[in-house]
Order: sequence, then C-alpha cells, then structure tokens
Amino acid sequence: MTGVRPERILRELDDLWVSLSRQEEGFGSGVLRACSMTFLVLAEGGEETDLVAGTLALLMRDHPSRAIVLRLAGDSRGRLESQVLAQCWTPFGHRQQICCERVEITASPDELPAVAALLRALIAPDLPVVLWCRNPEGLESAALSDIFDLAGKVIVDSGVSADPRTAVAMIGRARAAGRLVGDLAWTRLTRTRESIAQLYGDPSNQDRMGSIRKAVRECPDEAGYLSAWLNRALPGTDFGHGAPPLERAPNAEAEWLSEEISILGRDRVYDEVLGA
Amino acid sequence: MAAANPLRALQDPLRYDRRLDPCAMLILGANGDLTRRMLIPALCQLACDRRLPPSFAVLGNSRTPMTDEQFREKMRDGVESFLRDGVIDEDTWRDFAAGLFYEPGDVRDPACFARLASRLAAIDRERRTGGNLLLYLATQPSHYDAAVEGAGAAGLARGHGWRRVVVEKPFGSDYASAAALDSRLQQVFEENQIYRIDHYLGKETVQNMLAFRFGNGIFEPLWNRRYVNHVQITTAETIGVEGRGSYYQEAGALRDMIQNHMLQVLATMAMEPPAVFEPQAVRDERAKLLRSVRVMKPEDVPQHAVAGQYGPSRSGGQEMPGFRQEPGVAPDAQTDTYAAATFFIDNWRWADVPFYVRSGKRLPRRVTDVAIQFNSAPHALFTGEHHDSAPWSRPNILVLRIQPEEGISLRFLSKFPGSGMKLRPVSMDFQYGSSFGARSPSAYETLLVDVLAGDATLYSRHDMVMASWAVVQPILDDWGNRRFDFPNYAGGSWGPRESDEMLARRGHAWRTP
Repeated sequence: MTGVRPERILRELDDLWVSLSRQEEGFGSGVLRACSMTFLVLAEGGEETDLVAGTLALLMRDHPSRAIVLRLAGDSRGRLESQVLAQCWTPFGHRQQICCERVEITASPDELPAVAALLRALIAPDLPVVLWCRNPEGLESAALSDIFDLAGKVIVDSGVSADPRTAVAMIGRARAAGRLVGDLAWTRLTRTRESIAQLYGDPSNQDRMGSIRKAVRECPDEAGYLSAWLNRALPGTDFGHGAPPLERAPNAEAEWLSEEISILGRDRVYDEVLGA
Repeated sequence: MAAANPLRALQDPLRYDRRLDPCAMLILGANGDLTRRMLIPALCQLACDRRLPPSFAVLGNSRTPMTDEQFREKMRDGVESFLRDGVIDEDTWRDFAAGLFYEPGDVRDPACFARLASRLAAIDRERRTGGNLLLYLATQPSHYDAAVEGAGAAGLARGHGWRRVVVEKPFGSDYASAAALDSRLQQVFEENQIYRIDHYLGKETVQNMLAFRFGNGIFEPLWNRRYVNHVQITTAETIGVEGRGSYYQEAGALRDMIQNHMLQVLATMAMEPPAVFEPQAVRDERAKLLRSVRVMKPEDVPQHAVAGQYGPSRSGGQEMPGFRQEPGVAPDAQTDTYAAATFFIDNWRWADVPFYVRSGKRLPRRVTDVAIQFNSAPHALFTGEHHDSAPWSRPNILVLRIQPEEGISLRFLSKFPGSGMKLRPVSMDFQYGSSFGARSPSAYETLLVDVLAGDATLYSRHDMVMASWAVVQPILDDWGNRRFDFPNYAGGSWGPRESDEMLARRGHAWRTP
C-alpha cells in the first residue's frame, strides 16, 4: 500500500476533533461529534464530485455519518491519496456546533484492492454501513465487489443509466444474490405513489375510481417501476406513457437518499415490484 | 400477480406519511396563550412539513370579538414568535391562513354553539372537511362543562364524519372533580372520542423510553427490583410563576406536574411490556401500572411527601421575588411550588423499590430526567487502604434525559490511569443530536397528528386519570389540612431540607441532575 494508511487517517481524524474542540473552547459549548453510520460514496471525478459534495452537505443534517468519499481517478495509475475534513453546522436556536467526519480518498483503478482494505479499517465500529454508487453497473463490477461487500445496503440510481431497464435487472440479480439494494429511481416515485394511493383511498372517490380504465400519467415512469407498481395494484388500467425523468439537484437527491437510508431492512413493496 | 385489494396494494407504510382525513378543528379558547404559543405554531409547522390534509380548517372561538382577518393576524404573530425554526414561508402561511376562521361568543351561551355549528357547516362545504370535527378544549377548565354540554346540544358530538374531543389538563382539581368532569364528558362523547392530552407523553424522549426498554434486549432483564435500588424522577424549572400567579396559587406543583406529567412518565418507565404496540395494549399497561402505585395512608403522608414554596432570592445580580411576592398571589399563600413524594409500586417487578418524584419552580436549572440507580456490586473488591474507595458511594446510574439535552447516559466506574486501583465514575452518553440530525417534532405536533389520525396511544384514558388522582389525593387531603411554615426554600436551591431528609431516611440522596 502507498503512504495512505488507515492509522494515519484515523489519527488525522482525532487531530481534527482536538482542533475543532479548541476552536470552540472560547464559546463554552464545544462541538458535538455526530455519527450514526458509515456512508461510503463512490464518485466519478469532475461535476459528479461537486454534486456529491452538495448532496452530502444536506444529507448529513438528517443522517450524521462518517462519510467516506471515494473518487475514482480513471486516467492515472498508482494514485492513492486521502484527506480528512469536517462538516459542521449549528442547528437553529442552538449554540453547539454539530460536526461530522468526512474522509476523501482519490484512487486510480489499479489501487482498488488496497482501497477495500483501507475502507474496512475506516468503517465506524458497530454502526450500519451504507454505500451510495450512482451507477448501477457498479453492482456487477468485479473490481468493486470487495468494496460493495462492506456495505449492509447499497443505493444506486437506475435513472442515470443509459438503459434503465437493464439496470433494474442488475438490481434484481444483486438482490437475488442477497445484497440489499435501493434504487433512487424507485424512491423518486414515493410522493407520486402516495398521491395515487390517497386518490384511490379517498372515500368520496371510491365510486368513480373503480370504473377508470385509462389514465394519463404526467410523471416519469422511472425505469418501468411505476407501471409495474400500478399493474400490480390496478390490473387492467392503461396508464399510458410517462413524462421524462426528473432533473437531479442536490436538495432533491439528499431527500431521496435520506428516505432510502431510513429503510435498512427488507422493503416488501419494492421486492414485489421488482419481482413483477 | 393482481392484488386482491387494490387499496391495500397501493399502500407503502414504510415510505408514506401517515394519512390524515380532511377535517375541521374547533378551538374553544382560541384567544388564549395555548392556542397562540402551541396549537397554531404546531399546526403551521405541520402545514410546512405537508403533514396536514389539504382540506383542513380551524375555527377559533373565544369571547373576544375578532374578525377572521384579525384572528389570522393574531395567529401569525404567534407563529412568528413560537414556530420552532422561527421562519415561515409566505406561500405556506397564505394557504394555511386561508383555513383559519373565527367566531366570537361565550361557550356558556347556548346561542354561541348554534352559531359555531352553523359556521362549521359552512366551513365544511367550503373547505370539504368531510364532516370530520376535532373539538379542542383550550378554554378555562371552569368552562369545560358548559363547552361539552353546548357541543352536545348543538349536535357537534355526532355527525356523518368522525367526532373527537381533546381535553387539556387539568382534568379536575382532585379525584371528585375529575370524576365529575369525566361523567359530564361521557354523557356527550364515547370514551373512544375523548383524547385527554398530556403533552409530556408526546415528547420524543418519553416515547423513546418504550423503544429503549422494549426494543433492546440488554436493559429489560435489569429493569426490576433485583437490580434497581431506586428511581428518581425530576422536573425542575428555573422560572417562577411568570404572571400565572393567580392560576398557580390554586394548582401547585403536585396538581400541576406530579398528578399528570410525572406519573405518566413514571408509568412509561415502569410499565410491563405490552403484547403488541397498539394504542389499547400500551394504554392498558400504563393504566395497570398506575393502579399498582400504592395509595398512601393518611398517616404515611408526612413521611412520604414534602411540600415547599420558594422565598425571595438573588440571581444574576437581580432580586427575585418569593412566591408570595408574585403578582396575584396572596401574601399567606399555602401553595406548593415544590413537591416531592416517595411512591411504591405494588407489583412483582417493583415491590419495595422507592420511586422518588420531585418537581419545583425556581430550582437551579431547567431539567427533566429519570435516573435509575442500580444496586452496587455485591462484593466491594476495590476497598481497603490500598484503594481509593470513595467511588463506592457512587453506583451505576442510568439517566434518561427528557429535556433539555435529550439523551441517555450510563454512569459506571473506571480505573483512573496510573498506578494503584483508583476508581472514578465516568459517563457513557448518547445524545439525540449526535445520532439523529433530523428535527424532532414538538410534543404538540406529534399529539395533533395522532388525534387527527385517531391514534390514542399517547393520550390518557379515563382509568389512567382516575388512578393518578387516587395516588395524589391523600397528599392533597393532608396538605389541605395543614398550615405550612412557608417559604421553606430559597430560589436557586434544590428545594427544602425536608425533601433531602425524606430520601436520607432510606439511606438515599437526591442526585444533582
């Protein structure tokens, strides 16, 4: 392994906390070290990295974590670098700062075997590990499998794939193999599904709803999930084609991730839709 | 495969917010502090979080003449002052305020309820509230009877939608008046329509007691007389009566805090596990526990209960008045601004374990917590001249902090670094903020959503209220017949000496929270 060793990173994290505490000493309230899980992020370089940073900044407020961002530097060899930093904020009406740790690791593909060992040592003990890798193809990458194995739950987004239905098939295979996988394309449908459920559940609509045979859908189908979910519940109704997928924005993505992170066990409805 | 029931197949309880029916809420006492400081800010917060149903309306009532617009302005002031994040989105407020209405009138006048019923019918048509009505008694307790009778006579207790009533504490001022109030309520409403609110039960940390006890395997085996030495429950306030002197003079700490909030916390801490986490089952266990609290014999009260009243003090360079110097308070008031009691629970789990409960005003810090003190290790290994044995006076304590720094801490002994075996107590802490960044809903947000959803888990039931009154009634009787030499504690202290003596008789001492 290169000079990036887990002991050094952990020591840097310790030093970071000492330094943060000293900075706050004069204010009397100190900093609160917050960590409810390890959140591993696999990001490609450039714009992707900026988006990830924005999303993490929002996500940490709901799910304070030790965030470990792994940037894959595809154009180099023998590269493995790390830096530690903290993300801090003061909740409204409070004096005490809350801070989360972030470790950023940049690695070239040939260093991936070393990265898995490094990550294993950096995981916060006894807490859940969630891995966010936007591209579902990662699920079937042999080079990443050791890293994926570290996580209790993997979150991907089939919506970013050129062929979302193939991506969903990959998710199905990963789940069949025992990996717990969430898909943000499915998560994005929650509010739409909830509205439909409310519409059908409203007693004042019940007489009319039974006779619907065709409906116009103005929301994206998201990899065919919505059709599968609707067909499962309301067979025989033609819901037509959906609108194009939603734009990605950090605040929306953080909200979707937050929802997925809050479900770390079996998701019966998603399983059934995936199996449909 | 086609689902047998499409409505069920469309549901996803892991991900959807709890669905609330459209409804109207009639608040009696809408010009009061509770409405302005708690109810409307909580409802507005729920609107901001998109938790309220789209067809929702509030009709406020009090004697003060106001138009709908004036009521909205007044409520906006309240929201700006008391909304938890302090920031209100204009669009959200506009939508929320469009559902606020006001109808002045005196609830003791039957014509007032006729007008309210007529307004509610109009609101139902305009806002499509589905005939569902939540009646909220935020008025003076002395008006409860008239309000309930008026609501019944105007047909508001029955209708084509659901009808529920929320009753704020105090539920009576003693056992007899509570029974009378209950009887009046039950003449008009069924028990399953009545929601007796105790906002302590809506606090996230009180609910977390159930998760802590029944979601973990390691604590419950210790949660009994074999391992627990005693329990201390403290609710301390730094403030005095803050302009509520005339109300508080009639209430006192025993009625205002112990009879309701603290006994509910005690019941949550000590109850048996319910078979299922459903409203009826949870409330059954809480009620069973309250019925197991030993009712003191009159001759035991002086040994097991202490009343106190704060005197003048100096704090932060300022002279602070004693209770009797507060506006609206009689110069010879016998009110307890501090109350402490030793309770015993007569069941297999808790037999002979003292539960010390105290609540007071003008104490050194604002804190509410439950401290479970465990028995010391059976054999004192680290004693003798070669060891620092002082820490042996400090056994393990598990503290469930309810406010202000919500969390849980466990105190245990650890070796002080260096040669020799010196033990020092250390604390293992869990703070809500360090694990869950999400904002906790206020107790009123939680409880309002619950009542709108028809979930009574966190509300008190008739038998729970009566059992609580039965527990404190002998103390009220004794104190009502005595003349105390008040004041007996200085503001800024931890209460009267007699309270320390009450614990000392069993070899215990109040901890400093």
